[in-house]
Amino acid sequence: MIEIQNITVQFGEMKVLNDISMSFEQGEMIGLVAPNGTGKSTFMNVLMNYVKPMKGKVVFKDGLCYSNKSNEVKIHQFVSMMPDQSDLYNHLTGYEHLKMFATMWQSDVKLIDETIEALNMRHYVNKKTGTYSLGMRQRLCFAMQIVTNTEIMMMDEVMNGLDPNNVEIISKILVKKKAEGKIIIIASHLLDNLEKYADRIFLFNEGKLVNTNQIIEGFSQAHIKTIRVKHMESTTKNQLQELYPAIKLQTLTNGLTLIHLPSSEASLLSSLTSFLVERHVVDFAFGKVTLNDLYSMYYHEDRKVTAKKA
Amino acid sequence: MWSYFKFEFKQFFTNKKNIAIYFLLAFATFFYVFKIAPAFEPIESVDYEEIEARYLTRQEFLDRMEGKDLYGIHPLVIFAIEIFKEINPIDKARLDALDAGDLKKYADLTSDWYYFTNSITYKSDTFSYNSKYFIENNQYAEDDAFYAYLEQAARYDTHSKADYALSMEIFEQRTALQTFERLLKGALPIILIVCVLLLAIDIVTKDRRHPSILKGFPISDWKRLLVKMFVALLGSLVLFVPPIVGFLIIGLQSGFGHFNLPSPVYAPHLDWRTEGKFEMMTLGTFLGQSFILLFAWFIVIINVVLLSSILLRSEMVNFAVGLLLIFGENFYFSRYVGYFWDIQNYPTSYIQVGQIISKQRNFYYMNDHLVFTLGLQLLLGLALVVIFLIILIALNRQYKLIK
Repeated sequence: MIEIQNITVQFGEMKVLNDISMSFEQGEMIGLVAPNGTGKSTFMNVLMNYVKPMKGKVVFKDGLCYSNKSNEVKIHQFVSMMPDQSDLYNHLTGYEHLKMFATMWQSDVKLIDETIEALNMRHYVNKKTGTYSLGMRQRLCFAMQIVTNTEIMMMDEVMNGLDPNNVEIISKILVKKKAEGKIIIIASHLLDNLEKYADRIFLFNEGKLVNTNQIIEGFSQAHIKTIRVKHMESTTKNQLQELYPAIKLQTLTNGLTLIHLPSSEASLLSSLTSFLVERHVVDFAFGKVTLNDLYSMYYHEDRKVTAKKA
Repeated sequence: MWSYFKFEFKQFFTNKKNIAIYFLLAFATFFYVFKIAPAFEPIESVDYEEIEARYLTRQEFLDRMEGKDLYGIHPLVIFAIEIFKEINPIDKARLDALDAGDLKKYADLTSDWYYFTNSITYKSDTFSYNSKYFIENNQYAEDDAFYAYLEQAARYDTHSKADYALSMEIFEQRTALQTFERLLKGALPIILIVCVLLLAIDIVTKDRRHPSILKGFPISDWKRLLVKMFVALLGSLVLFVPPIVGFLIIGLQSGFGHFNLPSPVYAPHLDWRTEGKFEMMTLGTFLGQSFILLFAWFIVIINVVLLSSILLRSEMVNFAVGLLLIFGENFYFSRYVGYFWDIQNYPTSYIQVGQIISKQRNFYYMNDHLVFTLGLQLLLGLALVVIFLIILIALNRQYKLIK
C-alpha cells in the first residue's frame, strides 16, 4: 500500500506537484499520463525519495515513511524504480546487470533466467550492453526491475523504443506481476496499451493528479457513450446540434469529432446512425472515449474539459 | 552490504583507469628490475681496486718519506704522514681480508675505516669526502656524506658481529630486501601514495554516470562509503603485487637478504665523535614500520578523497586535494627548519616513509621529534576525524550521495 499525503513539490515559482493526496493498493496497476515536463517523473522521484517534497509525506506498509535514512533503506527493499537505459554500464553484460540487481535485492536467482526467457533476451544477454540497440537496452532495464521482485515497482516510459511484440510481452509480464499482488506504477505515452492494462489512470493538471473517471464519468467502464467521427463538416455539426440539443459535440486537434451521448438507448443510436449516413458520413464508430481522445481533449483543447474536484 | 561490496569490488577491478594504473606500475617495476637495479652503483661500494690504489699511493709516499729529515718541512706533509700511517694499516688489512675472503673481518675493519675517515674529513679543509656526494650544487653535500659515512660505519659494525652469511650484495645493499629498504627511503612511498590517490579519485564520482541504477539500491549512504573505502584499501594493497614480483626477480638475481640485516636509525642524541650517530634496528622492523606508516597514508588519502568527493563532487578537486596532502611538505621543507618550527606536528611531514623510520628526515630537518609513533598517531587521528566527518555528512537526512 502507498498512501500519498498532501505532497507538494515546487521548483522556483512552479508547483510541479500541488498538494497531492491519494492511495494505491496492492495488486493495482496505475497509469500516469501527461505531456513531457509536467511532473510524472517528479511524482515517481518523490515516491522513491529522490526528490524531497516541500510538504507532505508518502507512507508505505507498516507506517514506514522517509523520515530517516534507515527507513529509506527499508522502503527501498520493497520499492524499486526501473533504471534508465542511458545509465547502463556499457562494459558489463546484460546478465551481469541482472545479477547485480537480483543480488542487491537478494531475490531468487532463478528469476533471472525466467525473466531472460520471458523477454527473449537469451541471444544477447551475455553481450556487453555497449553493443545493444535502444530496444534491447530498454528490455534489459525492464528485466532488471523485474528481477528485484519488489512489492512496488515504478516504471517511467517503460515501452520506449520497443516494437509492438515486445510491448505486448512486457504488458503480459506486468499483468502477471499485478496478479502476484504488486503495485505497478507506469508512466507511459503508449496510451492504448496503458488503457488496456491499467486499473486506474491519472492525468497531470497543474500539479494535480486527476483520475480519468473524474474527467469523463464512467471512463473505465465499457458503455457506449460516444460516437467518434472522422472529418465531420461544420454544417453537419450545426445540423446535429439543432436536431439533438442534448448532445454535446467536441472536435479534437486531430480532426476527430466526439459526439457525447446522454444515454446509450438503442433508439438514439439508431437515429444518430441514420442522421450521419444520410449526410454521407460513413467513417464513424460507437464506443467510449479512448485515452487518446481524453489526452487530446485534456491537453490540446485549451483545457475545455475540466476535472471535477476530487 | 556483502552484495554491494561484491558490486563495488568488481567495478573497481574492471575500471579501465585502475587497470591502467596497475599496468603502468608493473611496467615501471620491470623497468626498474631489469634496467635500473642492475646498474645501481652505490657511492659506498666495495671496490678492491680503489682501496688498493689509495693504499699503494699512500704507501709509496710513506716509503719515500721513510728516514727523511722532516725538519723545516711543511706541516701538512707531517700531518699526511701521521694520518697515512694510521689509515694505511687498516686499508692493508681490508685488502688482506678481501683476498682471504674473510668478510666478517673486512666488515670490522671497514667500520673502523669509516669512523676514522669521517673524523678526519668532517669540517676539514684538507680532506674531502667521496666526490660523488658533491653533485647538483648540493650545498649540504658534506653533511650528507657525514651522515652516509657514519651510517656505513654502523652498518659494517653490525655486519662484523653477524651470525649470518655475509656477501658483497649485502655490503652494497643489493639484495632484494635491501633494495626495498633503499626504495622506501626514496620515491617508492610517494609513487604508491599517488597511485592510491589515482585509484580512489573516482570511486564516488563514477556513480554519477549511472544514477538511476544506483540510487535505488537498498543500502544506506554511509555503508556505501564504508564499502568504497574498504574496496579502495584492497585495491591499494594490490599495488604491492608488481613490487613483490620485482622483489622476487631481484631476489633471484642478487639474493633475497633477510630480515635480520641491519637498518641503521639516525640517533641525534649520540655524540658522533665517540658513539657514532646511529642505532640499529633490523631490516624486518624497518620494513614492518614502513608498511604500517605507508598503509596509514593509504587510509588517509582514501578517506580524504571520499570526503572531498561527497562535499565537492569533482574528480579534479579530489586530485588537487590529494596532491596538496602528498606534496604539502614541499611548501615548508627546508634543511634544518625543524629546529625552528614544530614540523613534527604536521601529518604532511611524514610522507617520506622510509626516511621517517630511519630518522634520516630528522637529520634533514634537525628535529628530534619526528618519529614513527607520532606520525602514525597523527595520520590515524586525521583519518578518524575524516571518517567521522564522512559518516556525519552521510547520515544527514538532507544529504544525497547520488543526486
